[in-house]
Amino acid sequence: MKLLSKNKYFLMIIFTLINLTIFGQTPSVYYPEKTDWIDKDDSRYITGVKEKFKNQIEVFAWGEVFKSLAYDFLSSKVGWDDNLHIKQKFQNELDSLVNDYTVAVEWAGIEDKENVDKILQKFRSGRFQGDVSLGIIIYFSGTDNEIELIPEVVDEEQAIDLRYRAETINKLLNEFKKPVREMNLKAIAKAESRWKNYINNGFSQYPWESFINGYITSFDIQNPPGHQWVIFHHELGVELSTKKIKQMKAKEVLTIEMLGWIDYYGDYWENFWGFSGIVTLRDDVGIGIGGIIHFGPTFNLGLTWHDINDDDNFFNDNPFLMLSIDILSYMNLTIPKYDKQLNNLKSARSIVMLSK
Amino acid sequence: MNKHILFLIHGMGVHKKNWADTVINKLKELSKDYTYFNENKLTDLVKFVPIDYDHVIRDVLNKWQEDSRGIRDFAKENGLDDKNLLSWLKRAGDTERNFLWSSVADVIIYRFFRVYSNRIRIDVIKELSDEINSEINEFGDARCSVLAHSLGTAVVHDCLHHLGAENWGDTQNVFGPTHWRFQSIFMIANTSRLLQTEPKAYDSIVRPGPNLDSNSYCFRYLNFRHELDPVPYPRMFDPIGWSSAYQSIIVQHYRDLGIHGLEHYLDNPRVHIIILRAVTSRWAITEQEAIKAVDNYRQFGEKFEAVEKIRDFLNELAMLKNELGQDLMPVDFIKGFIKFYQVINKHLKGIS
Repeated sequence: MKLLSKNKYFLMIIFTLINLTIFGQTPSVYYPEKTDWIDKDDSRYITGVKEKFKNQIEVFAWGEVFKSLAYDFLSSKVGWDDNLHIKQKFQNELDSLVNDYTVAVEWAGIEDKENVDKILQKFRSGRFQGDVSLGIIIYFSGTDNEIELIPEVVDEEQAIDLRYRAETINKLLNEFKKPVREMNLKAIAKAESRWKNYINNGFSQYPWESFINGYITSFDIQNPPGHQWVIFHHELGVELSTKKIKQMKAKEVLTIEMLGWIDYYGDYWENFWGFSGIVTLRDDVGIGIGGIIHFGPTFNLGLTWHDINDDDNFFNDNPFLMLSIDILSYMNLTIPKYDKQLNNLKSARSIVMLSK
Repeated sequence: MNKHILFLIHGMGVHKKNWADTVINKLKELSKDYTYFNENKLTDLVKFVPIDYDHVIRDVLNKWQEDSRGIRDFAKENGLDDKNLLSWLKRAGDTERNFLWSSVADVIIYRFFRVYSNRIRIDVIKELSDEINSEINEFGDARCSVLAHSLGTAVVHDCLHHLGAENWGDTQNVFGPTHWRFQSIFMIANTSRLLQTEPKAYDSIVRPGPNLDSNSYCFRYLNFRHELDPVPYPRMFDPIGWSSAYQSIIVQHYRDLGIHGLEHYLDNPRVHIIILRAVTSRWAITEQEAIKAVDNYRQFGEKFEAVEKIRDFLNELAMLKNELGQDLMPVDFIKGFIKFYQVINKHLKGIS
């Protein structure tokens, strides 16, 4: 018997080589990228299988589906007598799939759509993904049940049988995992939005700030830093003197936020608030010192004091109201229009109380 | 049936949306040397998906340039000395004739600015996962490989590790290695170890292994390096003890001064044959075609063609010298002298 099966195997190789010589081509089923071997009406093809197990899939009885498919291979109509050890390898993997799934469901407690995540904690579902990295199809590569789908190992009909079944099961497993895959994608999209908001819409950072914040704040791939240090941050702003409201003058100043703190909030890091200690530079009244608060990217409001009378005391003169260029452009503030704008602001109740 | 997806990840420098066109065209052009691809178009078999992360870096640099512009203008208008006042950011966003900011900055930003490297990573991870998911939704499965170059190898290493190892949304990760894996990873001029942060290049899941192995994320990992390419040389990627599914290929060809360039690497049959077979089939390029391509591929060509000719010339002179020997009759000496000039004239035009 052994001699007969050996001879049959030898003859199979000779037949394949003759086939190749006469027809000059390896049958398309062996090519990973070819699909012309597929008959979509074949009962082993994904469409037929999904139709056959439509009810079970609908009620999430995947265990039943996998068991049936494993049992079905036992009675495969393809001649496997000359290649029983290959058939056994494939059967071993089908049985392992069924067994692993059963154990995972027992552990998880319930077999339903909401429990897929829990089932997957114990069920490794990548078993039937074919390895095509060498330009041939290898199932269960690197394991004791490894099968190379090449003419020297399986004949054309056997290759078709394995390929239908492996690809169908792999696709069914991908469908089984879909609820969790969607959750993964949602989390990835959320992480991307968060990082986009943090970088693009957050409080801007100069190179040294982003470098330092990268090492002293905590974050991970799904969560940007919840806080941000403001360090020697340059900005343009406008100072309004508050001595006499009707004589308010606005002057553009260079503001340096010496040290500050920003806190992000919202599930997507869409908002922030913060505060900084500032120094302002202007040529007419010298350096100013004070503080600023930030509410989002547009609203920045602060107070600064200048030593106007040159008595080395910053705080015995009226403070200046500090606004960012953003809020200024929002208010469209110019000196001739000041009174009108002030009335608008008062009625809108959007200005901070001014000190004397 | 779905095509094999080949993700393309670029290296440092400015890369616009259509950056991959030259790479894809190069592979298409090379594939035409093999009979199979004259009947089966490469783009009918492979879906090329370029990944662009350059826009993140450009946005950062443009922002730095813009943020500093107002300050510098203010300083100028108010008579402040603007030499040290952010003047170094003046050209941060310029892409023309600006090697420092358009190329070197990419590497520095990715390696040392951790907030921006995470921004880049999540961007790439989203593109990869969306494409994989889209493929599975349409065809039931996804066969994907990755081809990365230079800085892109470090980006890809980090992104693949996070894609496969992270608990996305505090659930099981079905993009992870026990549920799905990449087919091949092709790393060209690999800098993943040079630019590594966490995890280290040898400690991550970005290594080859079999199905269900939770410590590996691809079936095959191929590392390509040019013998004189200085970029992947420091902290060279050279793991020990990995499975036979890891291969390191060193190439020694010279076609252009830019030996680090991706297309320069692809030009070598020892590189492109492996890639083309891995994303189509073993039989797409026959053994005879492969042997012929490698045998006929000369070490020096195009801009370096003269090197081959000079080598041939020197070889012929050496042979002539051996023929002459030490003890010559005057007539034989004259014959040899004439032959010497014939050799020079024969090679002179070719070399110059």
